[in-house]
Amino acid sequence: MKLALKITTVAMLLISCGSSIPESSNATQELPTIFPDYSDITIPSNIAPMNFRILEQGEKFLTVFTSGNTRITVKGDMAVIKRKDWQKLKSSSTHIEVKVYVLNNGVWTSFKPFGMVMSDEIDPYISYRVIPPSVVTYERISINQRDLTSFREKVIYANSMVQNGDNGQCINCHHYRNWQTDNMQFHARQYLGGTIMAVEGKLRKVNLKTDSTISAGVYPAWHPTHDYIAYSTNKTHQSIHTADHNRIEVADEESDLILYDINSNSVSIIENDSNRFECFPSWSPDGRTLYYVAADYKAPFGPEREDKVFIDSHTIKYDLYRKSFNPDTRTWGPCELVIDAASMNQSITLPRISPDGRKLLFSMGEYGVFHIWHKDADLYIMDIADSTIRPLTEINSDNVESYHSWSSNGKWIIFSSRRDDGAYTRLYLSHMNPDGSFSKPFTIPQRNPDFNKTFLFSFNIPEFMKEQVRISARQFASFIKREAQPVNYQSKKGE
Amino acid sequence: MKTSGSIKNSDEASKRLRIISDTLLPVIFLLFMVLEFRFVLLRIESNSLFVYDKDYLLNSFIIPGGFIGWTGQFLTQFLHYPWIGALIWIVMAALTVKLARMAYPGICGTFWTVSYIPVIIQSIYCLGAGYGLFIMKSPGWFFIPSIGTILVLSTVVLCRWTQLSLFRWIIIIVSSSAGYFLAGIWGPFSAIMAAFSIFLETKKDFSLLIIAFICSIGLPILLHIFYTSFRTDEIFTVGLPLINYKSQWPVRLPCLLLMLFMIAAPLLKFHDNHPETSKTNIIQISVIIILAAILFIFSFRDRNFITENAMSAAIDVQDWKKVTDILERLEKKNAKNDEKLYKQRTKKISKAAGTKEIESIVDLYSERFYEPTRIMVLYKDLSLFSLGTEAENMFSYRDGARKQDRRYDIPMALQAGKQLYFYWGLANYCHRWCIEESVEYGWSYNTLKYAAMSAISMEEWDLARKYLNILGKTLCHRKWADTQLALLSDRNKMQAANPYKTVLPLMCYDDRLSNDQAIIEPFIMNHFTSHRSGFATPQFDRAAMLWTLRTQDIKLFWVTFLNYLNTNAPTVIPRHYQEAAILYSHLEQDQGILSLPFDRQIKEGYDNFVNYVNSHQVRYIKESAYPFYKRFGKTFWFYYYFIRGQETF
Repeated sequence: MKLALKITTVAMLLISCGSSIPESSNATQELPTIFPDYSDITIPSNIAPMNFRILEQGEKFLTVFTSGNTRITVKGDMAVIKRKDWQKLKSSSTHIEVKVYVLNNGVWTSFKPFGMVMSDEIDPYISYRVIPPSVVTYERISINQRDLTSFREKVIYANSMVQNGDNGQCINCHHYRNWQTDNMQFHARQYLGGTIMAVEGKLRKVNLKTDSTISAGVYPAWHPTHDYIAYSTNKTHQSIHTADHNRIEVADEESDLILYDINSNSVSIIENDSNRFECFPSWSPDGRTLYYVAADYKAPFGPEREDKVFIDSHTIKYDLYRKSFNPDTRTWGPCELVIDAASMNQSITLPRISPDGRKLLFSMGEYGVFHIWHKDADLYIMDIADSTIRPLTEINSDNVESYHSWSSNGKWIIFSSRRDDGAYTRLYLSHMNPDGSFSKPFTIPQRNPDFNKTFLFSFNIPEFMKEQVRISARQFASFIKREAQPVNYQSKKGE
Repeated sequence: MKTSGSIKNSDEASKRLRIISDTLLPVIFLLFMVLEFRFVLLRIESNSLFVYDKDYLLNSFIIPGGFIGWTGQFLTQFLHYPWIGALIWIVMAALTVKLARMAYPGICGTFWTVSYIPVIIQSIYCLGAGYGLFIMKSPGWFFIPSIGTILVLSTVVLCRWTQLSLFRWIIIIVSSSAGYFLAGIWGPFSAIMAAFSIFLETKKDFSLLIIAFICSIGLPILLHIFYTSFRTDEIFTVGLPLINYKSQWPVRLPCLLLMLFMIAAPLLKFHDNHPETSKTNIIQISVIIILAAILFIFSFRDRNFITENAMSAAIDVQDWKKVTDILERLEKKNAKNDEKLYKQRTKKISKAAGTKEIESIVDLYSERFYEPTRIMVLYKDLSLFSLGTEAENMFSYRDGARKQDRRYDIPMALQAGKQLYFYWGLANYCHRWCIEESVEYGWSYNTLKYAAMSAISMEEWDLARKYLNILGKTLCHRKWADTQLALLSDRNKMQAANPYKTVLPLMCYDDRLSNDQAIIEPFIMNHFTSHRSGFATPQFDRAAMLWTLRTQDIKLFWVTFLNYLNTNAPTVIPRHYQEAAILYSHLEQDQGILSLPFDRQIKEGYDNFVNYVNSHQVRYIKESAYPFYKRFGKTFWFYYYFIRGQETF
C-alpha cells in the first residue's frame, strides 16, 4: 500500500512538472558548462532559485532538478526555476541533484549530474554599492539592498536623487551595527556632503571633518556594544596604469584613525602617526579590540608627496595591527603587530573578524591598500587563537578577491571578485564548513542568469543584514539636503 | 464679389499648392538631411545604443518617460543607414503635420503651412544640436520631441474623434498616468491638451479639463516616490531631453516651443470665408520660405564639425585613406576662398594707415582663413601614421587649432579620446574613457566597440566577450561583434587582424601610473616622447618621431631620430625628418649631421626657404603665414616657424 502510494506520488509529480525526461540518452561523465557555475555547491537553505544558463551547443535543452521525491524539469537553455518549484525542491530534501540533457542531431546527451547541498540559513538581506568601474565620473552610484531569498532589489539611496550636472555626489561606505539596519551609516561626498547616520532609526547628518583631522570619516567600524564608530581618515589619490591589467591605483597620501562618539558628537584620535598610514578599522565582536592595517611610509609633506606616493606605491605594504580598547573608559592600549605582511612581501587590507571572534578574514596582495584593483589580491584567514594564517585557496581565483564580510551566524561569507571578466566585480557566497574550510564559492543568483554577463556595473562593499533598511530612499534624499552638523574634536588621545 | 466658379478655382489652386508642398518638401528635406548631415547622423547613431533584450527594455522603466527614450533609441539605430534613419524621421514629421491638421483644423486645416511649424522646431532641435550631441544625456534624444509631439497630437485627435464622454475620461486618465510612466511629462501634457481642445471646441466638459489638470499634476507627484532615479524638482520635466550643460535651454527650448504651439493652435482660428485665395497662397508660400530660411540659419552646418564627424566615421572603420581624402577635399574647397581672402586682405593692408589698423585687419582675416580644428589635425596624423606615410606627408596638410564653433565645454577626450588612445596603443586609457563616457552618457555602440577592442588588444578575452555579447544583441553591429568574437582566445589570429596588427606594435612600453587630466594630446605626446622602453618597436619609434616633430624640441628630436634610425634602419630618410634635421642642424650650427644622405632637392628647398625669409620681412606671423604657406606650407620648416603654441583641450 505504501509502495503504491509512493509510486503514485512520483508519477503525479512527474506528470505535474511538464516535460518528460528523454527515454534514451548518451551519458557523458562531464559536467555541463553552465553560467553561473552552480555545479556541486553548498547553498543556504533560504536562498532564491539558483537559475543558470546552459552553455553547451544544442538544439534542445532539458534540466531535471531532483530533490527527494520531487522532480522539476525545465525546458530550454535557461534553467529558470519557478519560485514555488524551488520551494518544493528545498522542502523535499537537503540535496538537490541537477541533471542536464542536451539534444544534438536527434540524440540526447545526459551530462554528469551535479548537486546543490543545502546548508545553514543566510541573513536574508545584503546591501552593496552599484558602481561603474570608472575613475572620475560617478554619476550613477546607488546603494542597493537585495533580498537573498528572492530576487527583489531596492535602492537604499541613489545619488541621482539629489545631484545634478554641476553638483556631483559620490556615495560610499554603507555600514551597519551588528547586521541591524536601525543603526547604519553611509557617506555622501562633495555635493551635500556629510555622513548620513541612522541611530536607533533616527536620521542625522554629520560632518566628521575637523581642523585637527585629515578628512571626514572614511572606512567605518561601528562598535558592537557602545555608541562609537571608528573611522579611518584618508587623503587618497588615484592614478591610471598605462599598461598594467590592474588599470587603476588608489593610494593613501595620508591616513589616520579616529573614533566618533555618537552621544557626545565628538571625534578623537586613535592613531595619527605621520609616518604611517593607518586604515580599515574593524572591531572584535566583544568591542575590546580594534584591528586595522598600517604601513610605514616616510616622505616629506608638500606638493610632491602625491607623485612620490605613486612612484613608491609598489613598495608600500600594510601590516595587520590591533589595539585593545576599554569601551567604558574609552581608553586605548598600545598598538600590537598581528601579521607582519611586509616581511612576506605582502600587504593586507580589510580585516574582518568572524562573529564568534575566532577567525579573521582579510585580503592580501603584493602592495597597497586598495586591493579591489589588484588582481593578485586573495582572501586569507587567520585563526586568532594561534595566529596561523592560510590562503583560502578553495575560494581564491587568479583575479581580484576583496571586500568580504561575515554573515551574522558566521556560517557564510560574501566577497567581491573580478574573476568573471577581470573588470566588473561580482558578489560571491561561500559556506564555512565545520572544519574551517570553505565550500566552492558561487555568485548570488539572479532572475535572469545572463544578468552578470551583461550588467555593466560593479558591486562592491557587500554587507549582510538581518533585516532590510526601512528608511525609504526619498527620506534619505530629503535628509541629505540638510546641513551637516559639525562634530567636536577631543584632543586627548586615549592611551 | 467673387463667383462660385472663381472660389472653386482658387480652392483648387490652394489644394494643388498644398499637395505639391506636402510632396516636395519631404523629398527636399530628406536630401538636405542626408547629403548635409550624413556623418552627423552616423555619429548620433554610434553614440546611441539599442539592445534587443528584455532587461534592456525593463531598465528603461527606472525613470518616468524612459520608454520614450527606449523608443527613441530603437529608431536611432536606423541612422546607421542615414537614408533609412532620415526617412523614418521624415515619415514621423509627415505624421506630425497630418495630426496637427486633424487636431487643429481651425488653423492647420485651412492655413496649412502652420502645420509645418512643429516639424521645423523639431528639425532645428535635431540638426542644430551641433557639438551638443556629445553631451546629450537622454537616450534616444534625437527622436524624443518627434515622438512626444505625435503622442500629444494623437491624444488630441483621439479625444476629438470620440464622442463618448466615458471614453474621453479614460483617455485623459490613462494618458496622464500611464502616459507619465511611459513618456514622462509628454503624457500629462497630452491629457491636458486633449481636454483643453475639447473644452474649446464644445465650450463644455470643463470637468474633463479640471480632471486632466488634477491627474496631470497629482499623479506625477504621487508616482515620483516610487522612483529613485531622478530628483524631486524634475517631476514635471522628466521625459524631456537632458544635456550635460549648465542650462537645459538648448534642448528644452524646442520642446517648450512645441508645447507652446500645441497650446496656441487650438486658440487660433483662421476665419476662411474664402478670402483672396491667391493672396493666401502667396502668404502660404512666404511662410514656407521663412520656415526654410529659419531651418537653414539654425541648422548647424559648420564645415569643421561635419568634417570631424566624417573623419571620425572613417577612423571607426579604419579607412585611413578616406580620412585623409576627406581632409584633402575640404582643403581644396577652401583654397580658392583663401586666395580670395588673401587678395582682399592685401588690398586692405595696402590702404591701411598705421600698424594698429594693419594688425586688426590681419586678425580679422586670420579668423576667416581656413584652419582645421585640433581634432582634425590629430585624426589626420593618426591616419597618416596608420598608412605609414606620416614622415612624408604629415605637414602636407593645413595645420592649426581652429576653435570649434561650440558653446559647450566638451573635452577632446570625450569627442575623440577613445579613438586616439586606442589607435595610439594606449588601450587602458581607451577603456577608461569608454567607462567614463558610459557613466555620463550611457553605453553606446561606439563605447562598447572601443572597450571591446581595448580588451582584445590586452588579451582580456572574458571582458571583450562581455562587450561583444551585448553588441551581438544589436541590429547593425552584431556582424562586427561576430568578427571580433572569432578572434577571442586566439592570440595569433588576433595579432594578424585589423586593427590589432597596427596597434599592438605600439603597445611596447613599461607600465607607469599617470593621469591625463582629460587633456589627451599632451598626454599622448608625452607618452611617446618620454617613455620609450628598452623593447621599443620600429613602429613605436616612428610614432615617437611624429610626436617629437610636433613638440618642436630640438634636443628631443636628435634622441628620437637616433632611436628611429636604429630600429627602423631606413634606406631613405623620409622627407619631413630630413627637413627637421637640416633645419635643426642649422639652428644649432652643427654641420656634421649634414653628412647624412639628404635629398638634394630638400637641401635646395631649405636654401630657398632661408632666402625667402631673408628677402621677406615678417611683420606679423599671422600676416606672413599665408604667403609662406603658399610656397613652403607642406614643409616642416613652415610648421616650425608658423604653427606654434597650438591650443589643445
